[in-house]
Amino acid sequence: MYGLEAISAQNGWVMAVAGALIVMAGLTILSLVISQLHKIAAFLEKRVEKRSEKKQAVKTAPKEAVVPKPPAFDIDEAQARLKPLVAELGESFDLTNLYELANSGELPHVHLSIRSLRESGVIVPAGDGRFVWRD
Amino acid sequence: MPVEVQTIEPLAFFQGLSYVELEQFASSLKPRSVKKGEVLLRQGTPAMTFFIILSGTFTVSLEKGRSYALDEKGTVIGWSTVIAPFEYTGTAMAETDGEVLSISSNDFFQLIQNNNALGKKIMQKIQKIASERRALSSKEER
Amino acid sequence: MDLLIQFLSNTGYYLVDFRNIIMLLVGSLFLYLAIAKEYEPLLLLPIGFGILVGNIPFFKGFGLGIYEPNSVLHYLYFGVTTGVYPSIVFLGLGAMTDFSSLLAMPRLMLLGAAAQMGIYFTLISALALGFLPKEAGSIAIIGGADGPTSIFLTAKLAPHLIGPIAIAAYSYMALIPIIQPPIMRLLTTQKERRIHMPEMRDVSRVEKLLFPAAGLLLCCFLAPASIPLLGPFFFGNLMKESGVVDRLAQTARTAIIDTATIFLGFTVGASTQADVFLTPKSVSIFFLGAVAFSIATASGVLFGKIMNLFMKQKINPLLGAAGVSAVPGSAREVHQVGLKSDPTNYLLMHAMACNSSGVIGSAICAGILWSFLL
Repeated sequence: MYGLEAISAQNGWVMAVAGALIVMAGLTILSLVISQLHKIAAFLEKRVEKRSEKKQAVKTAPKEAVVPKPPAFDIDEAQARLKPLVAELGESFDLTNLYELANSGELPHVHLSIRSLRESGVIVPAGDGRFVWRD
Repeated sequence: MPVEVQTIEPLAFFQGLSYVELEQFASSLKPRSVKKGEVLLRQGTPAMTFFIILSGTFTVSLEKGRSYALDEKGTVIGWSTVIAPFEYTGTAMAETDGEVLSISSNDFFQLIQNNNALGKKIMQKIQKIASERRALSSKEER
Repeated sequence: MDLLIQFLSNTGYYLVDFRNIIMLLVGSLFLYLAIAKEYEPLLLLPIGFGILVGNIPFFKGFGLGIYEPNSVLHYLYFGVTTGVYPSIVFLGLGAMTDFSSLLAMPRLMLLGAAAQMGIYFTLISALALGFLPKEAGSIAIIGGADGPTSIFLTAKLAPHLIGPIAIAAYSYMALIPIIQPPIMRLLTTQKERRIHMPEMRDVSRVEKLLFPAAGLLLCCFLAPASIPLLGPFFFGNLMKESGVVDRLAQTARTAIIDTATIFLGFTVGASTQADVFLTPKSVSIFFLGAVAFSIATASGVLFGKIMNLFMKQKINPLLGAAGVSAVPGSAREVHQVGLKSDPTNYLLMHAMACNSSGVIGSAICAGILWSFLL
């Protein structure tokens, strides 16, 4: 079978017209939906913005914990702070005892102070693991 | 060897592109060494590739015996790949050894398919360069 | 001596006939077009080489040929006959396509729809030429200008025609620079070709995320038979736009699509054996393929002109030619024809929008035809 007869016999006209209409309708609807997508996107973005704004308003800003700033290290100050403690311990002293005494007095930079004074020659070894204070 | 973003970032043509866009463009570019005397493109042949100079000097010969030299890094040769008349309007030959980056028209259009925003930026740059070229050639004709 | 004679009688030199030679020349032509002329090399090179491989004469029964079970080529061909490769290609296509242009100007989608009329015109023509309905449906889909879609539908409806239909579809896709421009110029005036399109707005990320979901649901609810193509397509696009699976999207649009393209092209080429391909039916298929492409281009352009009768803001009717699904070839041709008419008229981005809609349209048509002809 050939020609128009073949087309009619196989429902060619119906398939062609229906198929064309379906694809046109489908893509037309899709294009209409797409044309509104920017509005949906703007709506969604606005909602997200509003939500985050609400969250900001409800939350009170947390109080900042007051952390005392450690005083800056000064070797002369350290020397002045530790000298009375050394006087308490006697002429020669154990570094461990000086360390514990300084910590219990809540002096700042205890370890650094003792080390710096050792390096600068203020606290010198006296032998037998003990140390003396040299001004 | 893939082209690095750092190679193309300082070039004038790529100003205004984001890092991601530069990365995408760089992945489509192919580096090519050119020897002295090598012909990059011939007048009258279909324009399928355009080139960006990295180093070297190139002479572009036009009709009526006119010619000009190109040696500035970042200069584009072969704009007819993306603008009319889509065939090379001159013959470009290397005066010295050099290096160029090339991109075929297929890869260029694929790049645009992959990133329309990049395509829009590139086409705006191309429009500007094309209008400058037209203004220059109409001045020369006068 | 007998052994030697037996060996020689099994060689291709002994078994060759003129039909093999013709097909080897066809394969060589494809390779020439791909390599020397750079006509769609990603498609024509694998197909061309596949034709060479498939048409080397061999002794049937050794499990060598693509149609022989247990042969390596047969196993590779499985992806074609089952429609797996086209689905994978569509996954990669979705992952590499940016729909921003289409989202910025949705009315361009109608041009993609109009360009699919070539399919239905070819359906009628194929029936008129005496093809069976399923064969006619497979031939008609060539008008969608989409290789994977053509192969997918043909594998379902008329697998014995995969070879000629695939070759026709890919050949005409490669010949778009020759087929489309004359039709575009014939159907439009110089004034119409110079119509400038408005600049496209920027599209938000949310829109680009909503589109694959909306597209999948609307298209696949309408034509569920297009799920194997449009499902992976929109999935790939969502992977690309989500930004959270960049690695997967990158793999889909590079390694995965390239692998599928290689095997698809190679095995389709190998399937075009002389005895299957060189038949009067193939000649008719090639003729109808040309008709399909031409009508598709023409219907897109004409619909653009019809739209201009009703719209305040005119559309450049050249864009209708980009509704043909050959991405990015037809968009490039529209851009070139537009620029030749007016050097300041850059239609590329708008043409890309029509191209993208053509991909969706051709897949929907494949689903519709499959539903009609099941």
